[in-house]
Amino acid sequence: MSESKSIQSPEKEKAPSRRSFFKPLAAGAAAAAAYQTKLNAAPPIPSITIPKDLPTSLNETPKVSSFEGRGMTGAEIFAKLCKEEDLAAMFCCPGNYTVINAIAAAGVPAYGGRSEGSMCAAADGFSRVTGEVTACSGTEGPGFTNMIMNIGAAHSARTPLLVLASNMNIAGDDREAFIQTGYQQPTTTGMKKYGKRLTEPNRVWEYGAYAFRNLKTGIPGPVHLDFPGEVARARFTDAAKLTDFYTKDKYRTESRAVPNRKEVEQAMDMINKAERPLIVAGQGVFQRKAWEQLKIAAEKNEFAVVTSGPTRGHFPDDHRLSAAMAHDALRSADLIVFIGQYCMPSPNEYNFAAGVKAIRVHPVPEDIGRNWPVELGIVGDEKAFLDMLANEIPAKKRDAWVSELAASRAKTEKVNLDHYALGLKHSAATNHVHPAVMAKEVHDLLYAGDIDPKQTVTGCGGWTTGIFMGRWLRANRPGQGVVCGYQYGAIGPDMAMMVGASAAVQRGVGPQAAYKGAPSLVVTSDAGIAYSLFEFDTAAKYKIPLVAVVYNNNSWGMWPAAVGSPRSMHMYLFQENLRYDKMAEGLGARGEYVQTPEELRAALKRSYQIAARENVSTLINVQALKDFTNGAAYPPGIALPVEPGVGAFAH
Amino acid sequence: MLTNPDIVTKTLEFYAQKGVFRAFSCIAKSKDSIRYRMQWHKERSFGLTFDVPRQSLRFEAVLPKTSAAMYEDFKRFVAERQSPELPKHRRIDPEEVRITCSRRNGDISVLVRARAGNLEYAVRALIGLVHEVYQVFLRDGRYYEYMIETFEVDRDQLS
Repeated sequence: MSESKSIQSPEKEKAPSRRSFFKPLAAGAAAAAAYQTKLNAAPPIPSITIPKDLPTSLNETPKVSSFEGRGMTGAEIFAKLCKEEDLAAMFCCPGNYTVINAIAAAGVPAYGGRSEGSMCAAADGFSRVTGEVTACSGTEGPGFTNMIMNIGAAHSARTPLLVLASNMNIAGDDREAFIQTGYQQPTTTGMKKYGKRLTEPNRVWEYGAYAFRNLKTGIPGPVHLDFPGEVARARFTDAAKLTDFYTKDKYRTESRAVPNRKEVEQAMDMINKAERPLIVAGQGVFQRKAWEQLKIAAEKNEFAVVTSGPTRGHFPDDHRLSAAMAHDALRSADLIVFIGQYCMPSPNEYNFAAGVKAIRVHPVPEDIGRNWPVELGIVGDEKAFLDMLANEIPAKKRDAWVSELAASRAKTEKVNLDHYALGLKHSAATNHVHPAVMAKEVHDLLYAGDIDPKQTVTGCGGWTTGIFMGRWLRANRPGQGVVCGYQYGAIGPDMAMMVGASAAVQRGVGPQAAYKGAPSLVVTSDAGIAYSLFEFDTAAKYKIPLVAVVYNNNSWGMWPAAVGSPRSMHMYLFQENLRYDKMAEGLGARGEYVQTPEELRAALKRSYQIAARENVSTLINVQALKDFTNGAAYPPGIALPVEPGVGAFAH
Repeated sequence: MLTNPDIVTKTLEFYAQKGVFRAFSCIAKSKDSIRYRMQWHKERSFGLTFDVPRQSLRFEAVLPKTSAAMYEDFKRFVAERQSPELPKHRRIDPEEVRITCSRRNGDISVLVRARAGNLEYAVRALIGLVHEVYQVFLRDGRYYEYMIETFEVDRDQLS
């Protein structure tokens, strides 16, 4: 499986080989021969293999539980509700056994990985590229707390994520009985939309309904349920014992707030009167799958569109009305319309003209006016608003605005190319890959070659990596781009998040249907990969094809914080030239090691082809230098991303 | 009819009402000058003086602790804002205002004088210019470390 390259620098050629290393250890030829004989006699090291139980288990037919006979456990009742609610996938580590087994048995696509935190990120990633509700699960105490960073990330991203965890027995509460005792609900305070420790077995369905009501209506966010043994393992042979045991059409509604007609007319009037209107299509446009309505309305009235949120592509970057790359033109807009902007910036955080007029369309009233004063606030469902806009907004030509957008996009492209030219120079001078070069090579593979530019789902994280790569990644259709560090700024979930996103592509869920089975690609850093590298095992196990580009600059991206603090630098540095490609190989993936732009180009192409053909993942270790972020020595240094648009990660 | 000080104050209040300034007040007033203070980019407190007889507005220490090279870049950036190559709606019209930059003890100040008596335009031009200094000039990579040091922000908090 491995096709790792061994690039030898002069220093490496001087390094001891296995043979030369052992030579001085041997007292003489006889000893060396004896040692060699011993080596030859050693049994061969077995290959990494996928256990045969795995496909058997994955091909098992889902089981329909019933109240008859032995009846149903509380876990099975909850799983039945999850199945009826079309829970799109569950990612977990063993623990919370009764519940995860019941959910898997019920037929919800389930994945088991290597750490609860990564599985939480994977569930988030699956949701970010589909808009669907997903679940993660872990064992009480340690497994649950391992998820915390990624629950926080999902909360910031407003992901409809169901967080499940077992939590000992109610009978043992406050007694520290056995191990793993912990109060879970206070731990997720501030990072969930709703949470509950289930304490009444007969209310398990009722609280499942609470969970999905919160996950599927209003502004999404994580819901955290913790299951003590008395609830998960309770048995029911009679549905009458369950409270509020009725179907989803009774316990929640699909009804949405339709915007007030007069207010929509006022908004359309303002858009019409504006010379250079700009729609910020937030996460809500994606969540409500309103991208077609948005496109129709935009093309009819020729307003510009830029997307925002943890997912990109609900308005194509390559559209003539896209402002995602039109950084200068953002400041020309004379009216901003925020639609479904769940995480609201403050005026100076977006690259708009000071004091520009603003309209905000939001599904619930509480958030309108927070952070950003508005001329007009409209309460209403994003899809309903865009439906009205698509149907009723007058057709209009805005040639000057369209031309300005095109010129502005061209200017941004030129800036990117200037950075690339500098990066090439730095790469040639150092024999290490500059991040601008890495970014351009990834871009060219995905969008400028033989691959359909709409095909590949990408994700990106890390500090240096995110800043350089973000401006080169494109999202040309819904759910094509994941902003892994969105708002929370977590370093590290990238790889795991993209395992989840790629799982959704493999299944062709929602907007991924047209590209079912395509490889996905993640770009992360050496700091970031440490948090979820082991999920290469998960990717290999489930044949999830992921190309992971790891920018290896031997340090945390924030190493300059140690400059001027001599006793601190050691805390910011790693060993140099660590081989993440070798680690990936040890986990059943391919490894590639590159030091030059040409090697990177070839490795990317090779890795993508193998991912597409054989569903095998690859880690490409892109060897770099930490000093590339020093703007004085290696311009451009850290050019902060423009928000909103390509590369934005805060809002 | 609005007096010139009224026009300046009202125009600045517009920005405060739009959330551009997070705090805004008039801190001193005389026949010849009015001093304003506002909390704006990087949570900094900015001081703006309106010279009534001269019809000019001066932002002190728009950028503090700059080097001579940075000042040269800054002047180029300001000149570009008046370039005829920019779209009209983003260009500062040299017929309307005269912009003067100065640097003392490393602090860069900007003065805008209304040439044709259009004070609202002058205020808007000045606010727009300083806004772009923070949105564009400081973000292109050269001044990342400058921002960390000068504004004393944590690297994880610099946006």
